[in-house]
Amino acid sequence: MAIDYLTQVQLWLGAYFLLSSWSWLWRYNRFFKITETTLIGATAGYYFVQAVKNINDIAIGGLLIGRYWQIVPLLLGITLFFRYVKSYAWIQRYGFSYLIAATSIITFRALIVTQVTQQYTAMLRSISLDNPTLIMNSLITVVFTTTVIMYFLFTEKLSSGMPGYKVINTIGRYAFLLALGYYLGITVMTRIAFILDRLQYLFFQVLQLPIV
Amino acid sequence: MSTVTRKYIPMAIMIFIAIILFVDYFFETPPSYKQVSQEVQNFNIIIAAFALILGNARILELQGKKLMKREPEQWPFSLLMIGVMVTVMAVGLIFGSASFQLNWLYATLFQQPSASVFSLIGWVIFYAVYLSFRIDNRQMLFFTIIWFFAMMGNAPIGGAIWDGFPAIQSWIELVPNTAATRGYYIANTLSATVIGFRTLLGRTSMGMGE
Amino acid sequence: MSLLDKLIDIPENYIYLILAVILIVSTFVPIGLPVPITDQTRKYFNDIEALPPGSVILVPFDPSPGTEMEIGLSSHIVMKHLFRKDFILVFVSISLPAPPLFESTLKDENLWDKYQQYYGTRYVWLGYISGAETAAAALSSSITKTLLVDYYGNNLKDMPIFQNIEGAKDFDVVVCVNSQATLSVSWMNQWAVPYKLPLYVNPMASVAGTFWPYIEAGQMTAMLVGAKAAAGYEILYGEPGRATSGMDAQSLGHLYLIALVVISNILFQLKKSRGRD
Repeated sequence: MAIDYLTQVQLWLGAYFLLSSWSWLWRYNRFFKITETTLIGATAGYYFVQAVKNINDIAIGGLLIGRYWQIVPLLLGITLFFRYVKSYAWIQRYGFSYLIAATSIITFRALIVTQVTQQYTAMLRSISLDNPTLIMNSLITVVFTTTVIMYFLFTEKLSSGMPGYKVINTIGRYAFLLALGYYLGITVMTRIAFILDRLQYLFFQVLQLPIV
Repeated sequence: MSTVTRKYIPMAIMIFIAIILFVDYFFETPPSYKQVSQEVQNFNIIIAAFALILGNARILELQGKKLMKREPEQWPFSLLMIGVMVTVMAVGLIFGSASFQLNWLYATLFQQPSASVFSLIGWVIFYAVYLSFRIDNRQMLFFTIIWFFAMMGNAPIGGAIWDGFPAIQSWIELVPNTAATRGYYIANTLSATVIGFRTLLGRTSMGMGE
Repeated sequence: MSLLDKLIDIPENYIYLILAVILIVSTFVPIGLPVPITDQTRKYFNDIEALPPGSVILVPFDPSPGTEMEIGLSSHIVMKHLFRKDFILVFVSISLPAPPLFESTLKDENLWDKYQQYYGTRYVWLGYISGAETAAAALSSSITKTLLVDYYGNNLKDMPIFQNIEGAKDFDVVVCVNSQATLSVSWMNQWAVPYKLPLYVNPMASVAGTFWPYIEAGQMTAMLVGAKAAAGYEILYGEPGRATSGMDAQSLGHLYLIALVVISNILFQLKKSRGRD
């Protein structure tokens, strides 16, 4: 009984949040601001709970079973809060330097392999001269990949003296425009899906209309 | 001394971490070294959790100031934000992260508003496209043609109208789009790697939190 | 202001109103357009179907609440498929909204009882781990050295499932159910590529185009792209559901957008020609 009541409250609050969000399409108003504020507060609160759980399970749990080196991340994590102590604010650099270094290196070391070397190898492996269609595809692949790289890495000021620069720049620009146009075209389905999800929630869960 | 503690020690930490992680990834290392590298990565999980909590502190700081100053039109919303945040935190800490109570709060106050606010993107894109897709040069014409074939190939109705739409969309997807995206990834990664090394070597001071 | 200027600068409310009417009508009056099943969807389904019983699968569950219709639906049907067979499933997340959505997905698809029955022996839920890609990297080296307990506080070393599993080298497949784009790439970078594991992803349609280089390079094995692929997967699985029902509205929404662009350009060119006159 209590759970049914809570489910009903949840449904009607969900309907309020939905309609107040969509009221923004008319104009920015207080109902939307209430929804926006609630969302930010709930997000922050929930993130806090999960963060504390991680610290408790991994670091404090580790300390309790004899992994004494877990004191290091606890101390480094606490240094992040020294931003609020004016004269010792520089201490936060220790925590941030660890965070930035570890996060960026773990990502970069993998990206060099997955986004550069393996992608380049895949481009070369995709080249095929079996028939005219494959030859055309291979030519497009090599030309577009190379010109887009050069379009991004070489700016006009540095490269305007390079022979063929204008052609390379133009092809690179059009190749990237193609990727962007394609991306925008297929993204429409995602955007409509966001609206449909809410409409289905409103009609079939809140208003309990029969599903067609 | 202050330069050493404020600049060189943080830089030394960054370089030390970088060397440990790079060597472990690209070279064969003994098990003891792998254990050190494992713990370096594990430490980051905890520090990242503290960074999440820092976000909460920041919200309390900013919204708290507005509340204390009784900023007109804003302070009730600051009160609401802090109230909701503290409520969710308290419920989570008291009942546990896997509790029914926290899940209910999550579903009601986070999941529903989040999905609803997200859905605004869907509406806005229609007006944005109406305003911006006005062809007045070759680049815009080219962009719009590609966009059209991508749309018609992707929608189920495109295949029902003409078989060619899905075929053209598929070709664009597999050949020129893949090539251009690949070029973008390679350029992007090379640029980001250079910026990353500049940060490690202290050539930029961004991201240290001050 | 002339009629032409009024139409060119039409207030957005009219555009939203027409869109709302189109989507609502198509939701209640389905046209019944056929849903094409792509090669990627077939490959994804057939590969999962062909996996031998006892396969050890890492299932990253990294949702975002607003994406239920796009990748949530594909996550539901893929979860059903994974639970139908006798796999060993290790669920984990590096996305904060995951824990309640994970449990609600299992309950919505009537998988909760089976999940609880075999928990610890065939299934385990590690919960949310902070750090994003660094968490994925740490887990790939060793799950039991990174984490001490699962999401519910049970000691990992006491669980039968972790007697033979330590890190990525002990897994057969990675199936990224309900993952945001950047997080799928994180799992690719830290699990699939270094340990040469097949990786299956469920991206939104908007980012699928950016995943094709990974598919072509063999870094990702197959992908289930958005609601359309979820509809196709439901058909292959034999249970058409919510994903299939949204396709008509999608089609009409697309046609409406094209009509808007055509009208906008006609009006724009008319205004330009009148300006020249």
